[in-house]
Amino acid sequence: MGRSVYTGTGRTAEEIMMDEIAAALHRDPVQFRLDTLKEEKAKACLRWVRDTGSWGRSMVAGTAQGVAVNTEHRSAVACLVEIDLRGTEPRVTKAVLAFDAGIPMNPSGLEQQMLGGLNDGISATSRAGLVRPAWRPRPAPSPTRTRGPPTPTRATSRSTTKGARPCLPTRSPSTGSR
Amino acid sequence: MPSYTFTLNGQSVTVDAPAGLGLLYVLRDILGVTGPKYGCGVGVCRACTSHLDGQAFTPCTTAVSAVAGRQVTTIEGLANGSTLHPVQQAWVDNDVAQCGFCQPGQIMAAAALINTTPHPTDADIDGIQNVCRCGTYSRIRQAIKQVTGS
Repeated sequence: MGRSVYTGTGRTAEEIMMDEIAAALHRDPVQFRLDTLKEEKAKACLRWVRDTGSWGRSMVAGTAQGVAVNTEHRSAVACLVEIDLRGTEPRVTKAVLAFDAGIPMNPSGLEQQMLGGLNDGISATSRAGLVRPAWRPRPAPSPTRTRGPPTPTRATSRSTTKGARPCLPTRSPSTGSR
Repeated sequence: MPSYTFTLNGQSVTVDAPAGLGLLYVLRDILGVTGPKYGCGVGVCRACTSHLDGQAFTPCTTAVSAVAGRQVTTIEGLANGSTLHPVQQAWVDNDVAQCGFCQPGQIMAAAALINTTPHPTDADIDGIQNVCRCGTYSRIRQAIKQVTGS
């Protein structure tokens, strides 16, 4: 939904709680949000994704819909996604976003920001994390190599002795000590 | 200090540098060719992706001694004079870049892919592992498909 320091984690947790509260009250998650949201532009975004994304349509077992809404920096955004849990890992199969950021100076750039935020959200939720590969002795220096590991087999070699390596999508569990 | 001669963007260049010095630092710090970006320095982020004899490679993990006598092409050498490479044109047409830092590497990776695979599948495009923190992947795919007509 967003990729600021707070939004990516805090708002995600809050929106999960909104779903929990709605479920405890036996309320529809979208209608519960519409009834409790105060900002009209947020409600408008949520109504748009509800209608455009066919909220509540019948889904086969193992697939589901979810919604979230956020207001930040005088803008509002709502997102409806569909997720498929039937494979080896969850996949987001559809996403509908609505945003109101006022009059955009650069509409293409704004669309890019939303696409990037969506990609970041999917990545952070389903794939990302700091995975530090198991420590292995550094390979012997080679005259044709300088500072990097000899091959891009990321899980088996480290090139420096300090800091965790940047995490790229990998499903292998961390076996290194932190 | 040893001297190495290679072809950079169509021109022969000779540099004095330690054998083990990464080509990225030769390009950026000695030759002033800054299109290949320094990101991780260990061949993971691939922001420095360029072409070595037409194939994508990461200059940060390639020693200058390894490119002696070979053809190195950076983003600066991709266009044909004032005519953009089709991949560059597609990037412009699709407004792909956001912050732009990784984009020279993304374009070089895409151009290398299309050289070897004129009609890449989605899986082929997924094979490009260049990292983009802005998440421009959607339009990168769109731009590659524009070039390949798929």
